[in-house]
Amino acid sequence: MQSKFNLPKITRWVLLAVWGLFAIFPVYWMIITAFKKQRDIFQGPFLFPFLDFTPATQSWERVFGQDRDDILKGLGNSLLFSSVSALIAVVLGAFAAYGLARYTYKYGPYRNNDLSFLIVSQRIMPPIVAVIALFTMFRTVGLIDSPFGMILAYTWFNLPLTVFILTDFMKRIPLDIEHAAAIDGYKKFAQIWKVVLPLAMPGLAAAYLLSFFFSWNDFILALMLTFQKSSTLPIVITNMSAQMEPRWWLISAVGILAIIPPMLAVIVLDRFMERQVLHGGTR
Amino acid sequence: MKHLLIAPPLLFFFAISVIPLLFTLGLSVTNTSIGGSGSFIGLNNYAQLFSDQFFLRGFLNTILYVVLGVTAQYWLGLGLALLVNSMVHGKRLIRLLILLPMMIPPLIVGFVWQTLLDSRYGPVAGLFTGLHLKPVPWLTDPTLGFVSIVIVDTWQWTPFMFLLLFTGLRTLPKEPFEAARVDGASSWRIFWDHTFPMLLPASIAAILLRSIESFKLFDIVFFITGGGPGGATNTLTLLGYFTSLRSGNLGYGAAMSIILLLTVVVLATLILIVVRRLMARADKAGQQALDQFLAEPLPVKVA
Amino acid sequence: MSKIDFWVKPAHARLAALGIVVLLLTSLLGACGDAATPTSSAAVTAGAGQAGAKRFDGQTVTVAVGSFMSSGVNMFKADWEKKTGAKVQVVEIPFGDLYQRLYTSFSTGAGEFDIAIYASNWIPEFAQANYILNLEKYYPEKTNWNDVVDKTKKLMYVNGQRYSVPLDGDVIIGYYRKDAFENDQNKAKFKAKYGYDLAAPTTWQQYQDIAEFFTGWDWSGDGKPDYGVLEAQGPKDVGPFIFSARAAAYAANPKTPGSLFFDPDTMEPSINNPGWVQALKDWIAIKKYGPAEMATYGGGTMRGNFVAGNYALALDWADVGVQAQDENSSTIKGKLGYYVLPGSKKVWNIKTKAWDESSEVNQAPFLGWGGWHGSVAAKSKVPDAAWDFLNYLDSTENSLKAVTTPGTARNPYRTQHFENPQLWADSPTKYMDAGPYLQVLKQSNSLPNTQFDLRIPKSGRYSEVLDNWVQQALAGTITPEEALNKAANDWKQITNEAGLEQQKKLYRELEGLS
Repeated sequence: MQSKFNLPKITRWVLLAVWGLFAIFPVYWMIITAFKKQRDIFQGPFLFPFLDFTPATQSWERVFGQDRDDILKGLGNSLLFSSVSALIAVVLGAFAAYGLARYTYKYGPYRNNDLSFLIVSQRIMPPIVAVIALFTMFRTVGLIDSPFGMILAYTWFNLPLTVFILTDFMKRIPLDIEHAAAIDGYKKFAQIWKVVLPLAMPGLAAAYLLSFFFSWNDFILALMLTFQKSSTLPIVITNMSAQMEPRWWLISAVGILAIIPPMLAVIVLDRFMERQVLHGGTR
Repeated sequence: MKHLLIAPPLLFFFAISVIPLLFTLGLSVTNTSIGGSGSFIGLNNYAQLFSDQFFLRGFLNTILYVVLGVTAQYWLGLGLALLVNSMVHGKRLIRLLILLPMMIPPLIVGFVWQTLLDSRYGPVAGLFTGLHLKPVPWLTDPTLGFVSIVIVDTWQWTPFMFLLLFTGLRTLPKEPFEAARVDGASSWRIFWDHTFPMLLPASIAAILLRSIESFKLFDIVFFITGGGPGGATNTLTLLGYFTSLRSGNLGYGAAMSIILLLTVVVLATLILIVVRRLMARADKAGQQALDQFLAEPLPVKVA
Repeated sequence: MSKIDFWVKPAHARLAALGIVVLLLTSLLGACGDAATPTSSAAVTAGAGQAGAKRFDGQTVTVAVGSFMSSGVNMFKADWEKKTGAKVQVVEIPFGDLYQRLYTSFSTGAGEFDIAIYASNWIPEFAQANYILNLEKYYPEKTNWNDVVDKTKKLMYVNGQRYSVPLDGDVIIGYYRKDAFENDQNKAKFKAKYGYDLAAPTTWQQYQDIAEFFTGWDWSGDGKPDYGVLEAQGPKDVGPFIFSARAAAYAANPKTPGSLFFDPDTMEPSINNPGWVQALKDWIAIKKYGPAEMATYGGGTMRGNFVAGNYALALDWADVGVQAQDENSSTIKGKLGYYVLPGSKKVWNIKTKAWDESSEVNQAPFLGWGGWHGSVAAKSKVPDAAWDFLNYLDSTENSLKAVTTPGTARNPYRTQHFENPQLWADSPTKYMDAGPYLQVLKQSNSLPNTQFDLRIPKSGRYSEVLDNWVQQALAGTITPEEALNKAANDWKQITNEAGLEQQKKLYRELEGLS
């Protein structure tokens, strides 16, 4: 692009490498921990497999053995809840963001800005105490421990985020593209769906990823709203927790599995972030 | 049509958010506890909060975490976004690697950093000894414990800033930059005159969202220091969790949450005002973006 | 074709592709999950088919259990299902959230659980609220009741009625590194420095001397300086239990029974008396004989570290002993010595407000946390099956199997568990030289001055408050006296909120005072 920050190439790479080391080293640490025996963890620091310590497969034997069903259940639930709720949140959020960007609302004293703040403010509420009320509500309507309930909760949790992120993107999409679409005979809904959304792709991709990550790593909602069959991966991991015995080797192994789905999501969505909004609608 | 568009988030707001909010407000004026009935005690909980040194410390910590953490994350995220944006090769892999810390479940983040920073078996201490420096008590000194939490928070959430700012960069128009380049402006000037002002809306969105999330900082502290040493790294959400859900003092915990909520609302508003002032000082080339933005100011009114 | 269409198609196709990928992944995983379940349910039906109708055919018992205790339940699930035709569903709850989850579930009354397995400290609170079933009507059919150790038996009674089935025994004991203590050079050096023989500590002063002696030099032979002591001093973890265990020696006066936490006559908190203050000073003093990070270590991290081999002394429940046997975790198998918690020659008397000094050491082992017990939920629709399953978990044979298997979180609580070290050597633990270990555990469970943990309602809140203030003192921000005075003030407030008379009545009853 244009805003080239004309640092010498070397400097750029060095800066990136420094950050990269900082960002990746903890991940590397997690990966090697999954191959350590417990005593290697507490006698360290051991950094290099084969040189410092002999890799052990103890953790993987459990992951594919006695803990397999639990992990699969958590992984499946997390994947289902995160991907579906993020999708719903992004679609609903995009429509609302479009509305806020293009129309003027007036509900009593509430105008666009108040409405968008109202929506974002949901995100402000600390989930810690809200969960007790949520628990009671969910129980009343029978949504405790149900996949639908969890998807609903995560959609609620992420919708403010997507609305807020996308409003800015929507504002930047040139109006004349829509006019062109209108001339081509598209109805309003089709205009948004077929013209505006594709143009907002970088924003949609970012919003999807963030929603996905937030649901993926949520602990407190899942803790309160699930019992057993809808438990998510963070709950499964916490159940393996180190309170009794520091099974960090096992937890690290599950951690490796836990970063695969979000990585896939990034790989799939990355191309959309790259796309640039075209001004004037021509290429 | 236009009403239909924003109906879902508003519906969610009234169906799911308002009830918990009222519920929490109601709880906060009682002494309800798990396993006990509660009675109305007026504003006693609130009065008690302001003489509760753990609360006050947690309050101060929370604000410092937000200010320090979000500042660091914003500039680092912006720098990374610019660097990656100017790259030609290897972008996709780099992006994936940059986003990696955000994908790791909180419990594991806690464990990883706890062991990394351990002065006995952690590699960071190993590095320090290797360089003939004294190992640093990262987690057990009150000030350093605090710094460590900021570092870990920055490690995990700079990618969030990166993601929003990078996608923001992708939507900037080309023309102003090409014009400036033709005029022979330096990269530095182009950044300050064009990129930065035009990126402001995205920046504000990113800063605001990240601040809101930072105010709720919980799991990193929970899993790394548990709020210690001596409450030096506590946050309001952590205190709220322990007060409400661990020791079952629901009324008091609810009062904490309400104060937290008010604080976030007030500070979010302040952030917006300050940012708008700053923007008013930004000059010419960004003026267009600025105008567009100011024409529809972000809300400051508390609904 | 307009320029619009040019945009539309690829984006759409990609979106669709993304959707498909997500769906595929989900269904793939779902399929794996499904593939795993039929086997187990098939086994159950097959079992039921062979023997015709069984006692609890078609019933489902849902068991709520704190996460790390679940394997102590799961290992017996299939057998019992086969025997009775019932089905067991185990719901694991993250350990720290167990109390709150059980309470929310009980008090909102929907009865998600038939069995709750939790800390015996909460039995009085749950029993008083009628959340759990009085089990007296079932107990006559229990054949192995007498074998349960006395202190554990007492934990199960509220108003003279039994409300739980014991699954675990919890008492805090001391550990030391036998190899370092038996080294002649160390012995001579120690004697020269402190004027008495190096041996397992019997008083907290000795404990501190030994900790000092073993700090800062490499006695384990791994090339790095080692430490004298390792205790779980981290916040929001087991800290309050370890600290109370230390305080008992100074504050549990046999002349004034039941006065460890409160004055049983007035319900005035005892935790700020000079006995407790001394214990806190001791606890602060040993910080320098352990690694700096000890201030952040919880029970789990402490165990993992200790068995990795660089610490001379430790305090813990029976768990360190079991974990030391696992050679994936431990370098100290066979190098472990045990002792009943150290005592003190002076002990505070809350009535005379003075130290009672004596040449005898006052020992007061502490039943911290109280151990895992199981109760039947009052709202359970299958109470008979629930009782039967609990009884099965506690059968003579199964309880022995559980306490000798690593990772079950179940520690010995029946006389039979303590009697035969050979059983431990032959068990999955392969316990090396279990005799002294069992001896110390048994003795700790049965001394006359062995102390119960705090069991009155809101015990969780009392310990949280104590933990908060003690952490401040450990961090050095306030003095021990100040910290404990503040904690005592907060305790008064909690007691008043819960109803002073009510708390007093129950406290006296649980401490065995009329």
